[in-house]
Amino acid sequence: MSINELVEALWSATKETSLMVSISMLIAIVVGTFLGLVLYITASPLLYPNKAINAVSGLIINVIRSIPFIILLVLLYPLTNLILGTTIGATAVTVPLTVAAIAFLARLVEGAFSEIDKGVIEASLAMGASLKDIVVDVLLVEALPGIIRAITVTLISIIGYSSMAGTVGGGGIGDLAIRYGYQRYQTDVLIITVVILVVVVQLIQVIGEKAAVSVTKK
Amino acid sequence: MIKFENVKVAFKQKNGEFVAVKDVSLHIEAGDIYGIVGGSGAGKSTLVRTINGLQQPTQGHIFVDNEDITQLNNSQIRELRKKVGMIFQHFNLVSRKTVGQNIELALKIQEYPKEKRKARVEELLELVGLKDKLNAYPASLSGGQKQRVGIARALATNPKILLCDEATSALDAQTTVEIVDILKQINSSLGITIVFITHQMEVAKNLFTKVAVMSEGEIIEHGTTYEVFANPQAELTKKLVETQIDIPDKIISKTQGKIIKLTYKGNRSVEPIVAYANKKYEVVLNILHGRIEYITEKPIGVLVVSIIGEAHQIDKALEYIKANTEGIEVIREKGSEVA
Repeated sequence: MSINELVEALWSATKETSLMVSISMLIAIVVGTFLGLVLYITASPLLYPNKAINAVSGLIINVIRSIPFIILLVLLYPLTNLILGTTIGATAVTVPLTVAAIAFLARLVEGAFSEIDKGVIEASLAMGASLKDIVVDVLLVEALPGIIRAITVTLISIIGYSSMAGTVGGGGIGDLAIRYGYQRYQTDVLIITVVILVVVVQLIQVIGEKAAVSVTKK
Repeated sequence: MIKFENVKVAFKQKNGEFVAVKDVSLHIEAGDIYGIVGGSGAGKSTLVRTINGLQQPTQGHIFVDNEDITQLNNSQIRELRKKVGMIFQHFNLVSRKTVGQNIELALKIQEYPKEKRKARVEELLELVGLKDKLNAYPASLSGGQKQRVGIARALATNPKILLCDEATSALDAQTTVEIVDILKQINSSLGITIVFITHQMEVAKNLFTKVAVMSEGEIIEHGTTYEVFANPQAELTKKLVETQIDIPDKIISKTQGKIIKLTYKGNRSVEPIVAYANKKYEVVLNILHGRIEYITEKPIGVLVVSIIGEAHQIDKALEYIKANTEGIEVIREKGSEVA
């Protein structure tokens, strides 16, 4: 592969990865945070304990998280087909990626909520707060640093998952590394892609941590 | 203002139930600063939480402002909480909101008109002396300042009752005095009824007008603070309020004669009595230790004296002293002659 070809391949792979990862993360942040909230609220004796809802949502999340991503990708073919009308290409991969990201993030966000001092929740209840007040003005506010860290960790994992997009023709940086670097023994491509991934992941981690610290007021 | 009628609170546990509050009946009148004291696990926290519905009683009724709050639905409970503010041992402020935003949250929750909130926040900060901390985050405040914010937040919607859950237990002595003063001032200027639970006897002596002593879920003694503290009936109360006078053993062993402890109350003073006894009888009374405590601004004094003289003179002197003080207790009959 010539330098020009390599640059071009890397560029389009980067675009594919960005597309897959950003779409699935955007949806996951909304749905995953909501699900994390449901898990937390239904488990909290101070708020709305509901064993049934908690157990069912917890089970679904655990099942999704225990399936290896490549299998999830295959298992979700019917859903992907239903939503997008196709099961191949970068867009098609966003469906299983989104599902995986939601499950992953929901658990981490639940953890972020449970870090909140119960006393603050009790104080807001004593002020007469409704569940909506508590969610908007206490839970989401106090858990923000934890949520940012949860998003950071999820984002990194999802970039890793996206390397399996190649199986269904989704492309991306990870796929480039597997096809050229591993299967065709092009060590230079392998090294370049790995370096890019390391730099990207490192950047995300540093930025995520900085963001989390900057919103912490403790 | 608040009336408990046979209130019981039980928690289900794996092996049966745990009864935190057993059959409590108590009447807290408007304007009281009512203290509930007792050791940890006595059920104080649970009892106080039944007043604003944070804890539902298993049995019994609680009347707040003549309304039976055990019968309220969720939205009525929210209304009730407008009337009942609460402050906590660990302040429980939202860490990512500024002082101003924390107070504003209370106003928002109770749907205080948006355009008036800013002015109300400033008014409340003025009241607790924290005007310059409007935009500070709780983490940058001292414990005392955080509790002031807690008080401002609790008073945001002009409650009739303020519940204080160990509100000074995380503060040092000096700051405790400051918070106690603020609460006294709030009680007298705004007429808010205060219910304060604590295990700190110092706070009890200085702040409460009335007190109930709680042990193992029951109220074992109650009345005005002075009555309860000056004349404790139950064993636990005696232990709690014991005017401790510790004199080193070394001093006791070196002191000659009989050692007695005198207690006097109210405005009666004991020093002249000691002086008269010295003069009237052929004895030598020597003050070893003394202390006067003020409970709700009325004094209780304790004096430890040694008494030397002939046996029948000592008896006469003691009789005289007994007739003129509240209590007399012999600490040691007679000193060893070796001393």
